Amino acid sequence: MSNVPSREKVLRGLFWKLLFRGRAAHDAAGHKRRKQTGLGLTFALYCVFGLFPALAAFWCQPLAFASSLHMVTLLFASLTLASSVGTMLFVREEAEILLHRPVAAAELLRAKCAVLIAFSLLLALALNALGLVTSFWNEGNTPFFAIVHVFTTLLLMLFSAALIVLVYNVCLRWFGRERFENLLTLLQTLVTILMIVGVQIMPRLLDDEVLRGVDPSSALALLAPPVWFGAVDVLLCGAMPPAQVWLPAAIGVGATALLAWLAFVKLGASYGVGLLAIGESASPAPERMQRRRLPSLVARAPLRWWLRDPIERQAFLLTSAYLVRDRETKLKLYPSLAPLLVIPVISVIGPAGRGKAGPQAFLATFALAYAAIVPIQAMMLLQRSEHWRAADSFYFTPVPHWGLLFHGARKAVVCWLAVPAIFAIASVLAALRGQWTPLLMALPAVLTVVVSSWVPGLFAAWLPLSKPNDAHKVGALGCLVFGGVMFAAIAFGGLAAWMDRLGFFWPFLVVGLGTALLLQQWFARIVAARRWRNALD
Amino acid sequence: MISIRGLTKAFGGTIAVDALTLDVPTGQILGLLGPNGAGKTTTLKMLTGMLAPDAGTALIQGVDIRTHPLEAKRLLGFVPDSGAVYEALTGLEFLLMIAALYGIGEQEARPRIRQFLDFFDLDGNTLGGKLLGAYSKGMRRKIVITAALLHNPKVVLLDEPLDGLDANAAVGFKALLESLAKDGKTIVYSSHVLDVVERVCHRVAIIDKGKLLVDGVPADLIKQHGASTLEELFTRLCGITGAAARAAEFAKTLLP
Repeated sequence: MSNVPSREKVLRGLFWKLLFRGRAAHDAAGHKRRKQTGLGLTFALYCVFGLFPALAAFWCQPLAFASSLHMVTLLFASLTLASSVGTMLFVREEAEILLHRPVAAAELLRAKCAVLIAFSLLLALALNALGLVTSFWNEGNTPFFAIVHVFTTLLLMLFSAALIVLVYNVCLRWFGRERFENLLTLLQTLVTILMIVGVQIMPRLLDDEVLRGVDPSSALALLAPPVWFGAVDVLLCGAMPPAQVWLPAAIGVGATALLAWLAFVKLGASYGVGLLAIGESASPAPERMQRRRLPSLVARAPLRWWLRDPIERQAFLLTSAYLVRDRETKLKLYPSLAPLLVIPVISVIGPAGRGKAGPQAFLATFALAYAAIVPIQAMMLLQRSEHWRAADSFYFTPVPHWGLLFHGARKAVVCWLAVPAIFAIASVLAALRGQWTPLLMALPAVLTVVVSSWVPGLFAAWLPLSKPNDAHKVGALGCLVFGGVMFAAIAFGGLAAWMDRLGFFWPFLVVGLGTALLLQQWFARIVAARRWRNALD
Repeated sequence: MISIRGLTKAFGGTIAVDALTLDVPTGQILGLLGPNGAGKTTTLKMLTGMLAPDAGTALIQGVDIRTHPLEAKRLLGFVPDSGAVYEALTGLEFLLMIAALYGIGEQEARPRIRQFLDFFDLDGNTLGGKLLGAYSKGMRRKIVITAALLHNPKVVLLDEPLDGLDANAAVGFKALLESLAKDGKTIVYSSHVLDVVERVCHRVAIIDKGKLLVDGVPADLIKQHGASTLEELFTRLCGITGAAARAAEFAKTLLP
């Protein structure tokens, strides 16, 4: 028995394997290769991101330099941690695999968190790699900084993990399963948005006078976690007198200890209850209301006119239901669409938005270009599901052609995602600019998304929720298609803005509508010509 | 043995298990029967410590699952009806991981796994080389059963264990259950397949809406209630009367 590893060690090994392999793999070797390539690229990218704070070593004082490194780490590594925690902590079927075995819920939680912290620490070290090198040229710093900084980065990751786990556990306890799942999607979407915003504002912040010399006794120092851990850095390596930095350093260590106790000890035992609740089938009343609302919407005009074929209507309902109800679909879809909606808005806020092309052309071009990708991205993700085996029913039922299922799903994406996304972007841009132009430009954008929603069905038969999640994703053709659609959308958007400037917007829109109808006719022929094998490949 | 006293569980306003009291002595196979939503799986989940009961106690070999969950869990093996596994692990990796959770080292676990491999006619290459996500439903079920029995538990809880098993494996597994019971294991077998329960179980308990309706030896229960088969007794107790007539009437409505 002495050579048997502890349960926590076994669990850590399990979750480490699952993290690197994916949860539903089929082809071990191929999957491992793809995952490793992806990880390699991620680490390389993180090293590049680390260049910005690393350069701060040449003009910042030690505390400001250490705080910059921690700020970037907090932003990227911690947010990566936040985006993975939800899916790793709450796996629906896990209760049935592990909770009836002699495993305490707190052990399970600790093992998962240890793996997540280790993984985010690797990302954090990639981010800090250049900073550790440039620290030797940081004026007033000591040679011990590099060693101490590795330790404080670990402390920061522990702080982040404890904070995130605490938030999830508290939310699960207070809000119940259904609200929690929606909250999980919202949190992951917000995390994605934060990362994008961070990429945009980070260079500007690092260039700011505020960060060149941080006052350790200021309110900023006492409230900002990056400064707490920066203070621990300079305190331990002796770059600043202890009397100046002990307070923020003590707050950092104290907050980490308190959060870790609350997250892993105090609320650790209730984690099992949450894990089990995720897998329970009972649904609260609000969702039942939603269930009734959707079919009644489809039964009424104008959706009834738009969805005349019963198979198409059912595919529309199926896709709509997954967009609203399925946790796994929501978790992968909304965070991946968030950048497409946020990037045009952020670009307008910054100096780029005041470029030579003028606000109208800029807004139209970018908003359109990104919105055109929404249906393609959504359709690509909606083709995959953990319930992909259920798609067998499309094959053993007398469905005359796959196109009907494709159109139903396509229309659901246009109706619930693409068009609302366009008007959301346009409204935000209109509010930011104080102009109606973005709302006007939303009209050609609607034409663009309707046309681009056909694209996934032009190259192969497309069925909703019919492929496993780990199936091969975007290939070279996929990238070309993305690029091509984006280029076409930029050209169309630019043309719309130019026509608006010349006073020909409405005639242009009519021509655009005609072109869109012609293109749809052409695409419909391509889809209809693609044979429906009515058998599994 | 298993001792259940006043076990109760409600979800919102719905009572899933209502003051259930049952004893399953050592060496006995108890068939747990009931229509869909009767509370069978909820009962099993409370016995395994996966769900906390609202009231009542459940003792596994005298150990209270609520107050000493880890000790009780060490004594039991559970086959859930979902057949959930970590699909990104190979069968061997999964079983070694499960063995380690029960404190069984790799050296000890491997020969045990080999025994199950032989019993279930599982291919060693598949077990070590293929990820569980690529296994057939039957193969996956065999892995889940192996994972439940690998640590030689005193109490075995089975929720639709034959689901997905081929006829040969099912026959073998039923025979294995009988041998395990003879060797002193306590077994609870929850299923909808009445004829299998009738053949395999020493005793049956029929529950509906969380309440225990009858409990006894199948032949005695059939005799007491004047039924000819367990199926007839079940349909009578669970309120499904005139099933053949209803089916015939319904079939007529399907015709054009």
